Amino acid sequence: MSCLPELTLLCLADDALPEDERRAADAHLAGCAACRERLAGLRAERSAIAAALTEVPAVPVAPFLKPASPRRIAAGAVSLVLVATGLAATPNLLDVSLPAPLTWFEAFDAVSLADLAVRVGLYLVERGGLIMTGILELAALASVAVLVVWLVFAVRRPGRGPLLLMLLGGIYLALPAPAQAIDIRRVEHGTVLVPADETVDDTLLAFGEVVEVNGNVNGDLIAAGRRVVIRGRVDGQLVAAAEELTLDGDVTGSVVGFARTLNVAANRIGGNLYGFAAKVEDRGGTVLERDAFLFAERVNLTGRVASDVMAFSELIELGGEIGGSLNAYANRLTLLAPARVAGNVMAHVPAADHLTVSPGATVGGEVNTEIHTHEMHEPSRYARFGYYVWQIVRFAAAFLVGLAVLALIPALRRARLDSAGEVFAAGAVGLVTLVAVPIVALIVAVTVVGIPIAIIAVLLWLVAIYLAKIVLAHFLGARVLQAADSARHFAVALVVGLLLVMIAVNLPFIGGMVNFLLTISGLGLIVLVLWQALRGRGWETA
Amino acid sequence: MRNRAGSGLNIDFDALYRDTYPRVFGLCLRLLGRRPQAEDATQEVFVRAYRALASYDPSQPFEPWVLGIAGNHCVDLIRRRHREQGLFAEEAADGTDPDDAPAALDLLIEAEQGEALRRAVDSLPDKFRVPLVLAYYNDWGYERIAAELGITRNHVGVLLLRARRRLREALHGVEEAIR
Repeated sequence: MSCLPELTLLCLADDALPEDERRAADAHLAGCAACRERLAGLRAERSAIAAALTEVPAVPVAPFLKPASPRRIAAGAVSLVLVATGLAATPNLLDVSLPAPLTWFEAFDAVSLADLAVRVGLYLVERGGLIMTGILELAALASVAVLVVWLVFAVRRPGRGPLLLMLLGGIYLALPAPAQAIDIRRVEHGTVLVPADETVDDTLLAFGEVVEVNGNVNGDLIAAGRRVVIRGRVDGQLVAAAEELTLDGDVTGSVVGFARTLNVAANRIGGNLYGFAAKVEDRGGTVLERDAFLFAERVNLTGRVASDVMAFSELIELGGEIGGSLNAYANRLTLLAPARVAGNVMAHVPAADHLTVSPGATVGGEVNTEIHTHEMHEPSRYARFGYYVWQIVRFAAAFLVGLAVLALIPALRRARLDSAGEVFAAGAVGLVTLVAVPIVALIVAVTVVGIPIAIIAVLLWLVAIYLAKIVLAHFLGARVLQAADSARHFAVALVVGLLLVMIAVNLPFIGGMVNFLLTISGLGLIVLVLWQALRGRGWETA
Repeated sequence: MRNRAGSGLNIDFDALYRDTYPRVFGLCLRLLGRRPQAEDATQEVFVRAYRALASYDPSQPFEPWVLGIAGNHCVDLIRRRHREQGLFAEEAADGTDPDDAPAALDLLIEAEQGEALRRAVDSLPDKFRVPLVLAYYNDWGYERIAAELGITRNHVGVLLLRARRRLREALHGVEEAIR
């Protein structure tokens, strides 16, 4: 009898030979040492392969996220809507129209970036003297909400507790901390006045309907009110939010001003000027020793800026002197008669004739024009064909950004909101992030480390806001596909989700509210995922 | 922590998850090749397992059950990757089959470098790697593999034989290089 074929021997080694064939093979093996040896070799080979396959690189066990029941998600969404409505209805706490700056997908567009900044500023302005109270009330409310959610869900989900406790502790610690080293003056319905003969030797926080500083502040000054007037001298940085902000005195540091009208006149600013305003007006005599960054609807500059000017504005009129160069994004840019720009002028305008250089104005460097055709003000955005084109462009941009981000941070792909508590927690975390970051950044800008960190924080915040809806869109898309039982590549989920979100936020009447809720949920989702990722890494190194 | 599954049974799913995660991840990694995909697939497998918990018999061990779900899910993913119907189908014997491949003896046993063997497995075409992993990682019988891949029992043996021959070839190359 000839020897057994290798296939038969393999089946034998793998215990996969049918009974009758096996008996025949056994009979052969009894008398054939060669085949026995081959069989033993195949068995040994099997163990070697199995052993090699079983050795798997050590992997941290990712936390298991239970799949949601739609009812729980709905319950979470409903409670979030209820709380948001409650917040909106509570006077002086939160204006739901506040994140109107979050125009869909426009956050990377320079104009809407400026718009966003202005609106955030205006929000701070509108809340005026009550802003501090508002923050504290909101923090207290958020803490209570978070505490309740924690209590309800901690029992069922240990491990989430420390996050919420830290969040809670963080809110309580972060807010009163600056107060200990700072002179706070607050008058609800009146004027906070620093008379001309007074010198404040401390960082001063002044909140009132009107804030008037005629004396000296030897420290930083944070002021918010309907009207803020600085006539004295601030030996430090100035951060001010007001409907009308007038700078008539000297500031040795930088100035960050949020205002509807920002008047600068006869003053000297030692640092940079960051102006976010509907109108920036310079009545002449201003000396700015460094750069100016202006985001405004109208800019009128007649003073002297020692270094560069960067302006985003609908209308820019320049009659003063610029020691460096001018970089302007504007609908119209006009250099009036005595204007002198030592460096280059870079004008980003919609048409060549929107840049006017009067005969008396001089430019030391080159004058460059970049035609920037993007419409700055669309009379009725829905009525224009361009609006829909831009929606498509924004959709494509969001898709590409989403693709890149989801590919780079796979944790975001696995983000889930699987219970009412999680939806609610994400919303709460998102809300706190949305409101707290700019305020903390404002305080940081003056008190702790300085403006660059505050700017980085605000930029990250803007990026996170932009990504919030994209990440949420992917999550929703994945859920929809999952419900239809067709798990696909995350790009497909992203497209589906983006379409849904895009339609939802453009719904008449409720679109704004939907946009707001989606944004805070997405923002919260991102924060939670990043938190989990950080915690996960902690495990890995441990 | 106790999770109540749909059936009302008391099953400590979190503990089962922790215990079997590495093994399931290993299967997904061996079948899919890349780590991020394997991590995603592992999550999906446990989500499916959680949903299907009602159909799990707690008197049976959990690991083979969840590995069954994992194998099924990964094969689906691989099928989708290829978009071709007969990925594992029988075909006329391809000439590339090394008839004079080295015998099983010695080579694999000598090659104690599991790393080289793993690399060789990873570079096998899906067609051979999938039955190999299902048979020797998951300990599935030929019948079960045949049912999963939609082929005959006999063809499972053929694919495994070819897979092993390719591994021997690859490792033979390694040995030669070492000498």
